[in-house]
Amino acid sequence: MNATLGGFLDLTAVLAFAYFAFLGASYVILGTTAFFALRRHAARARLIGVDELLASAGAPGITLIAPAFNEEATCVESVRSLLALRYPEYEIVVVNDGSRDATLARLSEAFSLQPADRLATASLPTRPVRGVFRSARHPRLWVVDKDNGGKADALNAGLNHCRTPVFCAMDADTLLERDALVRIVRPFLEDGRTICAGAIVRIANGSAIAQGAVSSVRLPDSWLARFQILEYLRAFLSGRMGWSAFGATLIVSGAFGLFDRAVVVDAGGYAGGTVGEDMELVVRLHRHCRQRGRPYRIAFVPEPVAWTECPESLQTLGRQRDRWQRGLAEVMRIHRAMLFNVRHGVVGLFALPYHLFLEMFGPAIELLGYIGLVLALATGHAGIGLLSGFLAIAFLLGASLSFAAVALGELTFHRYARSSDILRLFLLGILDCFGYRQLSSWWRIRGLFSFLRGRKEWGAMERRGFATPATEARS
Amino acid sequence: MTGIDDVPRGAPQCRRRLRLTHEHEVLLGAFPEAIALLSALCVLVASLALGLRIQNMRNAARWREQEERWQPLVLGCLAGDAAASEIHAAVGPGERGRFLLYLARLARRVDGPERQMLERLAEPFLEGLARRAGRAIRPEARATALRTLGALGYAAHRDLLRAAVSARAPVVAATATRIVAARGDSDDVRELLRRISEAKPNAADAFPPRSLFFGPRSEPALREVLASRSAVPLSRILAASALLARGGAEAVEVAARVLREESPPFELATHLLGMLAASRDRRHLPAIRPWCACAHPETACAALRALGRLGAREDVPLLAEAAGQPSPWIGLEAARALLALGEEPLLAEWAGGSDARAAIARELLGAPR
Repeated sequence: MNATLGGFLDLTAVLAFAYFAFLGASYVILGTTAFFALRRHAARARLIGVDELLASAGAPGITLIAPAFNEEATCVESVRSLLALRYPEYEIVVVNDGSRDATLARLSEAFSLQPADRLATASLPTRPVRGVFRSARHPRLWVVDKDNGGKADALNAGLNHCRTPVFCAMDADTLLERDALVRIVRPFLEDGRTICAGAIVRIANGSAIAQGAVSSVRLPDSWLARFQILEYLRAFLSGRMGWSAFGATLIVSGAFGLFDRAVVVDAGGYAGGTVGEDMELVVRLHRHCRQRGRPYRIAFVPEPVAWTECPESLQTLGRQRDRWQRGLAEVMRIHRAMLFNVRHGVVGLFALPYHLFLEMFGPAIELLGYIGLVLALATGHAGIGLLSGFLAIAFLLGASLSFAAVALGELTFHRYARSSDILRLFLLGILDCFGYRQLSSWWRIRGLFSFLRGRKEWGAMERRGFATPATEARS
Repeated sequence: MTGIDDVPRGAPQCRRRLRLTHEHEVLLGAFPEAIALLSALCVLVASLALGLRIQNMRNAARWREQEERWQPLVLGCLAGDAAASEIHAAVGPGERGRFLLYLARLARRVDGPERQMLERLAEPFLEGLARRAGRAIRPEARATALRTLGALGYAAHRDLLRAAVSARAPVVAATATRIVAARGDSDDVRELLRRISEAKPNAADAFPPRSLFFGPRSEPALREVLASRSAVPLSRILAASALLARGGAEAVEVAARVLREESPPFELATHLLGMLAASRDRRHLPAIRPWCACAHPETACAALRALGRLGAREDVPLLAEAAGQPSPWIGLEAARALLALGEEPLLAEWAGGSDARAAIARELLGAPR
């Protein structure tokens, strides 16, 4: 019994320390790479303004595809923000994915929708389309009403009605900066190989929204939302920027991403029946282009261009993280042939294994580490010195990553006007390690089990809607 | 300290316990260093964040203060109320770089005598900037210096800028290329197009030549390259797209001749068809019509668009046939051309049917015009 326990503790110790060593090394490499990539991007952006590029290269037309499912709280405000975008040529296709609430009615009332004909330019399979509507007041606004089939299915329906060379996949509740398209289109203008571009999505909770745009950036009152703000900063500025510098971007946020229409249609569109359709598509695009020997680039624009509402209740956040983890596991299963495959270059050899071991199995290893530590303490295999040392290292590693994300944020876009917000972010970086991180790991482990059980549902998301200064004042 | 070598054989449980103890001792020994290293890292990145915050705030405040000081003087000088020497005296030695950046920003917005005045104001400080453009260690610093030189002293530093087009640092080469394209004369542009066509396409960080803006002085060279059968396709495509962006009027004859007499690549043909469409000159219809059946959909669409703008009733059968093609892109463009030629009744007739043309017709007739 003692030998079995010893063996288990040995294994746990090796796994946990290897995990922490790899995680730490990866974060340091990605963070350092991101730092230099961000500096390069900032210099290039200063030297060749995007307006200058648009004036000379011409702006490719863009279709914004916004799937909406039960979005009555935010859909009108979001569409208003889309109509106010600064970009020469764009259309908006909102896909009402069989909403059970008043999403279609709200849109119809707010934008005077009328039944219209629109020729499909692609024939990706989708659930039946019930009707197509066009706004009588805003001719560039179209609404495709269809049976519920999930986000991937809704995006495919929008893609079938896309007429422009480039399309933007987004969530109906995403708020875009006025010049979001101008900024994210940059890689398409600069490099003819670009097939996809992602950008930074930030959390709008707490910020003031006026006329469909974020007018003042503030930290929210909810601690849960604050932790997520820091998490997003870390993920976008360090992780995604770092991987992008290696040409191995695997995730373009489903909340906002730009794609080459022809390549996506050629690759078969979004995979139906998946919950991680955004990551799945990006990984498939890597595979598609590499298999065909087509030169390509998947870019990441390190600029904050889109705002989203994050969950403020533990239950909803837990469901969201569960879904994200299932999505990751799905991608790993579907594209397992790419893992450690030399033909897929950095993506196959580094990016996918990183996501498999550190992102997918990481939370389970972390949990195992905690269990191992408690057992080792209880059975006398380890002393309090080992426990406190281990926890101190985990805490310091987490805190330094959070601080680095704040520093990268200051390097690129110093959007928090109040210095007190920066100090609060530091505090969050310290508190993050005591509870939130463990909770997040637990949700992700739950997600892994949900995946193994074959759970496919999306999980309901509660939306509060964006607060405007007026409503804030009233509440 | 007890080590694994001291453990007697035949006592596995005890050995295991001791081995773990040994490993833990090693780990515990390494902890202080690891903790100290990570603590230092934490302090370092936190200080970096705070330092950047303070620097950003100070820079913004200094910029505001300097611009508020310079603006009335520069505006006075442009209006003829102040002498250049007054301004030069107001710029401290440590402020010259920023002052030039400020002037360059203004210079990009104005032209003619006002621009010349800004160039005169910058002149005494440009030598230092030229040295920086050639010697600064960071490529971004060299590129910034070149950009300012291009805006305020192109003629005097033309050779430096031309040489920088071939710089190894992509950001320097890209910046110099844009400046030479926008401000250079025909000689500069001819040389530039030659160098671009020799560059490795699709190299990482390669400069995007398709997003170049060519200035008015480049037009003779662009026409010449477009007409030259020996020029490489990329140079001719760049020339065609630049001429199209400029309205293309002077190069329309060349475009029509290339379409009639050569088999240009699709991308070049698309630009040339755009130039003919923009010309509104019906003499070029024979050069356009054969391209409506082009295998490349984008080129075929450009031809159909051109036909919609310049065509006549005799083109209706050709357009009606194109509208029935399986490609929705070609079908839509042909139907739009028919609508532009006033063939609304024909579209209304199709709208009652059930084939592919019906959907197109219904959509176009329902669309607000």
